[in-house]
Amino acid sequence: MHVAPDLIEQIAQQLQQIAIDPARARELAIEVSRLNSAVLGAIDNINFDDEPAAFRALLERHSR
Amino acid sequence: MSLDLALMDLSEVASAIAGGHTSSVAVTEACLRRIHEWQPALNCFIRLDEDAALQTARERDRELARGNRRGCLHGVPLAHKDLFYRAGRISTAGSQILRTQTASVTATVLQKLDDAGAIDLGTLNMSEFAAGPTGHNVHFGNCHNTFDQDHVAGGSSSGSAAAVAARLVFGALGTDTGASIRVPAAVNGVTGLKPTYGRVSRYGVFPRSWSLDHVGPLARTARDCALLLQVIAGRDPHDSTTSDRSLQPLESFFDGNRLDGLRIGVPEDAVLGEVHAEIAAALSEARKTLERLGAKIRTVPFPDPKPLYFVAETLIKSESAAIHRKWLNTRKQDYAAHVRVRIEAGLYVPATQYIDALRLRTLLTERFLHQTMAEIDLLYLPLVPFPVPTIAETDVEQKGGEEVLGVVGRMTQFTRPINLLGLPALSVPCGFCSKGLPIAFQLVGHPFDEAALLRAADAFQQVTDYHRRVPVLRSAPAQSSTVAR
Repeated sequence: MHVAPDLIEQIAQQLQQIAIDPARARELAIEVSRLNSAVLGAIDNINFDDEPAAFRALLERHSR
Repeated sequence: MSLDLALMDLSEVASAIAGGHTSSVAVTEACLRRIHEWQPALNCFIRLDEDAALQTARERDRELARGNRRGCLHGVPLAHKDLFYRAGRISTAGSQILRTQTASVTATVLQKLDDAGAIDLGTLNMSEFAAGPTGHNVHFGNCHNTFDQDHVAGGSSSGSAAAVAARLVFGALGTDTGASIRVPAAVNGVTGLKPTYGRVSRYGVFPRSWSLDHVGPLARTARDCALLLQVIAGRDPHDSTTSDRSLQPLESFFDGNRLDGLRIGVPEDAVLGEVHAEIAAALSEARKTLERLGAKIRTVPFPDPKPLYFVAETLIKSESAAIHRKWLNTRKQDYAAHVRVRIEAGLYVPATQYIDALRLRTLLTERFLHQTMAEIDLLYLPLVPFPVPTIAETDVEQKGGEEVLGVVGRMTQFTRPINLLGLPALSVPCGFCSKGLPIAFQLVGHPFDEAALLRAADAFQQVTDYHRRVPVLRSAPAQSSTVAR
């Protein structure tokens, strides 16, 4: 999934109120695309009732 | 004689002090002498509290003379990564931004070590804000490898590993978010434990990523790591992620030198395909040693590490961005560039993707436990898959470029996925490369089964001496010391 550098610049300015130069926005667009794709590519494996806190319970359940 | 005291293991010196065979003052002085000798070459201390340490040592000796032994670390000098808070003391997290920041609370783990009688010699160098596996630091100077000062000390707990390896302290605490205990332990030839997520409190510790941060010990032996773990583990009302699951008694960790019946899994060869030949040979030899001790080795499936790696990256960057957002805006110039770029992407990850990464963590861990760990007690993995690189080869700040970034990234390829899974993992010295730098293997265990890791490593260390090799100070000072007093 491609993230446009423009979007990074807009998020920086409008949501995060952080200044960013265009060259850095291009690098970040590539990085964010990679992370975003990794998560989006796997979410079909989780259900609506899978909650983040289940992780600690899993460790306890499988403890030795 | 004093120098010999500093060369003892933590367990040995604690017994010697308790038995009246030496004093805390003598041991502390021995450590301080070595610190003055080695600090210019290693730059592993950020702060040295010499007078306070000697004063505490005298007090511990007086207490013992009155029959009052505080605990199993009574009178033993330690020092820790400079991100563990002690009320009233500056904790820099290796950064310019926190260079004058005084902590208002004491980390739970430091309080537990104090209660057990340990002496705190000062604070240890680290990668800025615990970001980076090499030990480079533009603010306090790079920390150097104990066996060859041209090479990296590993990171981010660089000073912790270097100080333990050079026999300046008997043990140290570090933190591990993707590699930061295990890699520095590996490249300096010491033993480093990343406990299960929830085993040790993170309260009063500057965070890199709340979901992936683990506090753990570095020491010369598995036994010493076990002793430190016994002290720092446990439920903490200040940290809701901690477990009240108790550790087995220390004695039961080490009930013999055999590993009969222990099932150790090794990933299929394809997973290990990119391991350098010298490392592969040392790993193969160590595996045979474990087999000779009675362990049953079997091949196990290992998942594609990329999803584990990228889900972990999503969590680290998102949480780091939240931690650093204010400073990224107002104090951008006070970060090393290579540290800032490790954080910034998190500002642009949607909240839904961050939450889904947390949800995927449970799924990926459950799969890993069923597919890889179900038929084994321990998993055997490489640690750093190539010989320890030089400081110049991995200087992202000065050189940058894809090649440098590639080397730095590959240093954590076998460690970062384990942080996502929250499983306990141990770095164990198992050889030296042709340039004389340490090699280590990694053991990964089931949740809260640190005992199995430590027992296997202890048996290995009973029949090998890689962890016994004491580095020799070879060169003129690598750089000016920046240590504060």
